[in-house]
Amino acid sequence: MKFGLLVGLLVGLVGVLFCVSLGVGPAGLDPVTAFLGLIGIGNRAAELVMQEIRLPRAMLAILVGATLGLSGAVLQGYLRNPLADPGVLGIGASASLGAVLAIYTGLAALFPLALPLAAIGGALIAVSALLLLAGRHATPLMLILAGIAISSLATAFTSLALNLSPNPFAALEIVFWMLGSLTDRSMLHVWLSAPFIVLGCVLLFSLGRSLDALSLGPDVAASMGIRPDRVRLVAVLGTTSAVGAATAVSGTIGFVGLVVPHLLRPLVGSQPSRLLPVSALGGAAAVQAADIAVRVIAPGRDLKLGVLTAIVGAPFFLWLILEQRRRLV
Amino acid sequence: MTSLSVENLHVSLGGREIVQGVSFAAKGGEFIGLIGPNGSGKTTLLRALLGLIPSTGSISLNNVDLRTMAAKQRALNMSYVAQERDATWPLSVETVVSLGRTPHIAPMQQLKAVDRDAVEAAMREADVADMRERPITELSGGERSRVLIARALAQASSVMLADEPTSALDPAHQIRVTEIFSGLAANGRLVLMTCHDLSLAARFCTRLLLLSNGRLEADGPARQVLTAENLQRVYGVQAFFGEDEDKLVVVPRSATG
Repeated sequence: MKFGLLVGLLVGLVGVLFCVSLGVGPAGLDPVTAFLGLIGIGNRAAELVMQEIRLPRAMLAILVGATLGLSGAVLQGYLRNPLADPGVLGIGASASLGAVLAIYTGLAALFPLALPLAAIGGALIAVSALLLLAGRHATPLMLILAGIAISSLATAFTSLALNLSPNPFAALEIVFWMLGSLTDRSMLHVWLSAPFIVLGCVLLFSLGRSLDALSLGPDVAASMGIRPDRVRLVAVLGTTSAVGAATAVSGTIGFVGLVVPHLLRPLVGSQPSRLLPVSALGGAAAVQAADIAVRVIAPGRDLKLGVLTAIVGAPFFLWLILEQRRRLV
Repeated sequence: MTSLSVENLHVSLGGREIVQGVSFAAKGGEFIGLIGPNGSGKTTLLRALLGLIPSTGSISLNNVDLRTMAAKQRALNMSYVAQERDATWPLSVETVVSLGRTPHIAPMQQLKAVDRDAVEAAMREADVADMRERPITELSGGERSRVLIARALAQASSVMLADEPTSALDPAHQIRVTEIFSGLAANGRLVLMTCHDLSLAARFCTRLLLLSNGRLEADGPARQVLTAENLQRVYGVQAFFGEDEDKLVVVPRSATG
């Protein structure tokens, strides 16, 4: 398929899903009322629902989805491993820990932005530890090992917070937050996460050509003028900024960053640089679709987004593995 | 004309000195065969010349210190065909060869007409134009080797370093690949190739460098380097020596070491 056509189709898909997402919700607004509410000339209630509830939710789905798809594609390209995902560096787990601590200490109840800010703080501490642990001339393998160590530690502390949580309600709140969701997010969440996500995505997009060169191995890439140390630093910082901020507003949403690049890779001739924009768009579409599905499948039950992506993503991943095995045999 | 000068080069990896004081000078038009036993430091020497690993001593290209050159500038002067021919993704042959233009393209730019021409010329020169659509992962070893050479050719550098480009290839492919390099040197480039096939090196290379334990044991034309005494001392082999069309033929026949 022509690259331009593919990008056009995905942009269209994201646009359609964005509109559908704006139209779905328990308020049961008809399309005209919804539209009038969105542009602020309808009745007050519709305006509130559209501008304060559905718009931030749909915008965050795009931001978070694009982050997951793009960072997954970059990390698979940089680590030269189709099984890498945004979780391998431990950034998401550390951001989660920050958020959990905000809930645990009660800070999140005092002022609402404490949670995403603590999550971004967790991501920043994690990236510092990652760069220190892996060292200045780290190979991808050392980066993965350091990421696993950080991820395990963050998960352990999250468990500790759950273990020691002062009351069952706090524990429940922590567990629910960790499941990953975009329900009841405000425009504040959008404005808080968007700068970090945009910055991170710009950094990640800048790596396209380097990732292409790296597909022939680090030595050959370096002989073509690519500086491996710089690629690693940009990849790590870009992932931290984007995934840290995304996790801060949505919790952990699994499998999108792993499956979306995988699925789209054959459509771009496996070229890492071309995979970046289509994975960002594909991720945005996937999270939008999942976020619409949780509202349609179980209205009023608050089915968590992260639960749905895992339930759909895991079997899909299994199928990918079987497919790969079939090709090898 | 291109000139490469290496003086007293030392490389240590993991606390072990792999290259111990190598010096040589070379210029465009030479096709140099770098030979020596496994572990003698051939690959390490090439990687040090490319600036991929730290080294001490002096390396200068056209009288400019290579270590002071920006990575991109060095890439415009020197290209590399690595021994590993693995490719991570099933990229098409044309895409792989186009990667050679990486140092020529400004950030955020696409390939220009001049880049496309260079890619086409490189594919023709390495005889891979017919398979441009095929994924590199589905090619045979010999085809893949030629594609990776075309990739380095597209980089259009005056110096080309190749690490065992003929290993694991059938005789016809060995000759075809070596002829590509030979042609490059005839057109004024400097080619440095590591090789284990002594007769192949003797037939095509204009000069041989014999490495042993990180030191240069011999440097010169094939007849001067591939002597019974050198082969015995460095490789620990006795060899049959013959002549074919004025070229030296060397066939090792017993290991004595």
